Amino acid sequence: MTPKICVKNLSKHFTAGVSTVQTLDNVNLRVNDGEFVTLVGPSGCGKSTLFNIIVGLLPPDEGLLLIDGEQQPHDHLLGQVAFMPQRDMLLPWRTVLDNAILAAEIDGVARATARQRAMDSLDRFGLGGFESHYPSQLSGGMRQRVALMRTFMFDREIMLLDEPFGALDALTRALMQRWLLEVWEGEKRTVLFITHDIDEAIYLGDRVLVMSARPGHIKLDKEVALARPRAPDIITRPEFVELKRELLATIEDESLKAFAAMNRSVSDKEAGGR
Amino acid sequence: MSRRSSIGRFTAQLFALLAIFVAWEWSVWLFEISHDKLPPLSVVLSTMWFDRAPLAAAVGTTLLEAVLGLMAGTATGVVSGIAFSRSRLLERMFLPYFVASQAIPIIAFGAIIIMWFGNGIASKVIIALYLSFFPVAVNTLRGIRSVGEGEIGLLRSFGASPTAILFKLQLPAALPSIMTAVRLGASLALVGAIVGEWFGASQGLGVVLLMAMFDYRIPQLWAGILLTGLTGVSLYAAIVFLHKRIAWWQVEA
Amino acid sequence: MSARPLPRSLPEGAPNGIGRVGRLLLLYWPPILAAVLLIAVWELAVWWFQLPNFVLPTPREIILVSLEDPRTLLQDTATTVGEAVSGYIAGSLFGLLLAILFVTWPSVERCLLPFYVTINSVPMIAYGPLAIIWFGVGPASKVVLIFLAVSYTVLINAVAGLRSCDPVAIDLLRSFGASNRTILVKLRMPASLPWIFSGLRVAVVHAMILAVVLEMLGANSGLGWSIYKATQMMSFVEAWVAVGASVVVSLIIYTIVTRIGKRVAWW
Repeated sequence: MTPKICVKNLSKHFTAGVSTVQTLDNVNLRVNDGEFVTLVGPSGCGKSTLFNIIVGLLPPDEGLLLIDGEQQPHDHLLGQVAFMPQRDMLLPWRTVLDNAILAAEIDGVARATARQRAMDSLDRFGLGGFESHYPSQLSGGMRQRVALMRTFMFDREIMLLDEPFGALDALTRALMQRWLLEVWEGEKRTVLFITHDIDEAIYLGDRVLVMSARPGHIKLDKEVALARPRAPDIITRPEFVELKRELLATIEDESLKAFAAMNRSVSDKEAGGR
Repeated sequence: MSRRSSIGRFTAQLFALLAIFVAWEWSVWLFEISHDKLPPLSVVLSTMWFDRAPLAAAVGTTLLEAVLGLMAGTATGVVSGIAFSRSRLLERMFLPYFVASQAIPIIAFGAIIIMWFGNGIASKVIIALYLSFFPVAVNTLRGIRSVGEGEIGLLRSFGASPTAILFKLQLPAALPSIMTAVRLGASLALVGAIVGEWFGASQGLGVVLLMAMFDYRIPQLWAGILLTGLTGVSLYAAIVFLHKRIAWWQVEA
Repeated sequence: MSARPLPRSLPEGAPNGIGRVGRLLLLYWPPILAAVLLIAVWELAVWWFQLPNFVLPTPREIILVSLEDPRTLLQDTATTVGEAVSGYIAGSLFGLLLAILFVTWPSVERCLLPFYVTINSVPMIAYGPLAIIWFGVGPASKVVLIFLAVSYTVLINAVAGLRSCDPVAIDLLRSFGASNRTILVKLRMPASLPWIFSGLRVAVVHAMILAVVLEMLGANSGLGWSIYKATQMMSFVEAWVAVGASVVVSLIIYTIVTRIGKRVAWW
């Protein structure tokens, strides 16, 4: 089967002044059609950079990106993938409804049509009755749902979600995860989902990818052999715990490396300052 | 600012206004101030009532000049702010002068405008235009530049063209800072219109003030001052109202 | 209104030893280019369309005429600057004093501020004709109005600045047993300096505008008066000379105040 997304030998570095930082080093990954893949890694490992490249916001230094088996030049990617950044980035002057249709509107769907379509799915996103509220009147969880709805309304087969629940409290986050799975199971789109929470990664994903410390590459690719639909209490099951133990070991290793690197660069700076 | 304290401030202001009016009226009688120096308020008010038709016409003319100039200045200011945001070279070439214009009495150029465009309404509109133009242009650019990279990236990921990004993201985001500049521009436009009228005009608040000074008619002079204040406050209040309506999500103080 | 600051550092790879002028050119070539272009277009337009100099004198003519009679020009400039600066200094000091009174005794603020606001809600220039009747066509009428306008601007900014400091910091000092006066001198005043200087900068422009505009109403000498006379005689060159002088003078005073502000409130 041709994978929906295929990333081959992708590398990216940034230059800041005189120093160069290798952010991604030879990243390889594939996501199949209708698959939900989660990506975990220590902070600063280049997960968001990877996303920005797949979305088309950043050109890669080296490597290939294939969608449906076709190679994508960097400047053709914009508008092809439904992307949700870490912050909700709702526009304060637009109502819930108009924020939700923003992507569709830019895509060329007539406002009235888009609004009608959004009205029909408000309930599914738990926003029924809130269509004419403004973002400033919403809680964090609801804002995130509007942002998710905006991503879903942008009718693309591939969705990239960058830590969508990162800023939420634990309880809201658990509810949102359950809800996201429900919505996804209704639509079965291809999802690549960044998180730094291992429980979340296992609970949501068909497969979990672990990224290494910087320069980032895919360190581990682990199938999640848990049946769907998944009940919330699945996180206490032995298979889950066993998987978590294995992933934790890998990630902890990488986090320690990232931490050590951070300390090193700090002490370098201090030494340089003297 | 909470609603309650702003109401409190409003009441205090109203009270102060009344107190000033009462003090004015009584001190003239009490200290037997010559009416040539300071006529009592009652005399000023009766003068206003007596001259109500020409005074109303004067307010109308000046307000028209100021509002037309303000609207044209806002429009050209927004357009040049957008142009600056699109071209770094244009910005680096001209923005320093725009900023410097805030440090000089550009109203003095009004004299030259009058010589070019004559004594009609057009010259006053142009003065009001260029006075309000500079702050609006600078603040439009500031507002557009205040939009984060992330927001722009999100819209680009939806496949948005630069034009779509401008109209759906950057301009709406710049509205609060544009409206702040329009508030400033409103005061400047009114001053511009009045000073323009001093150089020669047939009607307007500036004419009322100037003629009263030449003819030494103090009650008329005071009527002109009070009406100028009233016009200024009303114009400002209208802009603030508009600001709260169209850019309600972020009203800068 | 702040602009994006121009890059302060040299572009990388700039040749060494290019000197101060060269460095300034490297940094500021776009605005200089704009000025050169503008002047070129101006001169060309006058020459091409054969514009008579009463419509648009060339920059060269303006400079030549201003050098013809430097005495009068200097005298006019001195009058205007004298009015602006004396009203400015007195107004700033008074505004600061009033601000300290307001912050120390809020009841004073509640009594006085509304009156100040009321007086200043009328555009200051509208009092111009009255000031001339009350205080004559001499400098006094201008100084009084400049004093009023400047003191108001400085007052509002200084009060906002004095109120701006962190209440936690005030509590901290209070817990050390600091008196109100100590808090004012050690904390509030330094914290308010940037605010005060931003008020002082805006006030420079107010002072210059009022001086020039009020002179247009009536005066014995001064740049505004000179502009007014020039317009009545339709003498474009002289109007340009006086307008140009007022611009230059204003920029100089503004720069001085900005420099002092950077020195005193460097953070």
